[in-house]
Amino acid sequence: MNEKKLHQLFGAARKETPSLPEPGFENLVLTAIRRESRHAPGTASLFDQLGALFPRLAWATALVVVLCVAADFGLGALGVPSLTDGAAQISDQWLFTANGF
Amino acid sequence: MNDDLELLARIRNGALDDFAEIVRRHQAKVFAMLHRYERDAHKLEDLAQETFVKAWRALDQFDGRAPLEHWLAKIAVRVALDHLRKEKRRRNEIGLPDLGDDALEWLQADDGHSELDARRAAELLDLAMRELSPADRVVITMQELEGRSVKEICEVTGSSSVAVRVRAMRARAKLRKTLEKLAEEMT
Repeated sequence: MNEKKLHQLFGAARKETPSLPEPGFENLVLTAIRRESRHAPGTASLFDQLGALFPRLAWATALVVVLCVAADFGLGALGVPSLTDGAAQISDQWLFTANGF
Repeated sequence: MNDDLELLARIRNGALDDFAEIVRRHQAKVFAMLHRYERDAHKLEDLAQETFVKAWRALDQFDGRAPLEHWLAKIAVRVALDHLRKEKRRRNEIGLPDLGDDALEWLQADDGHSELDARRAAELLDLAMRELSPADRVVITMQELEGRSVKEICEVTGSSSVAVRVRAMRARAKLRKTLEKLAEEMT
């Protein structure tokens, strides 16, 4: 196979009529795009949104726990009965009395 | 081109239906380009669809300095390259039964004494080009079948002119060898 014959082959192949799209091809493209837009970030599912929010929720929960512990220590230092003491007192008085109910 | 820009501005503002007009305007060229790499009608349609969906996804990156047609050609070439890489892994052998009799006769004939039908020539080339690396195939296809200049190929593929020339030369040599091998296998 020399260069001339290869050139001849390219020349013949170049004349081939290109394939044309089927009518309505543009609608197929739009359908594919719409399908994809439904999964776009703006329209994420509930689980996706929760997944995205999780780090913030975790930080907020940790902050609440730290505040509660700090408040417990603070109130204990001021002499105010702590929540644990209060709960124990209530249970002694009302739930587990010596004579029962 | 200005029409394309106006349409694109509307699409960016949410008028997705206007993208259908972009597809209608450029689909023939995209199909013609991709047809050089995939002859199966269904696969070709999938590739063209992928090209337009990728274009839609990357619409914000189109700055309008070059015609939309050129930008779409770049995307189509990338889609074709990915496709060729996947196909290369799947089928790596040339099958003689896939060729028509006239193509086989032409291969055996002396230089310039017989003419080959355009479709048969394209099929024969498609078969032989499977032996090329995807990047070499894209370069030789653009140069020989689409008639693009080295500069244009550089713009579309992002390769240097030296790389394009080397790829084209290597592809031509490999094609000659592959076609010779085919002719020998027939005798």
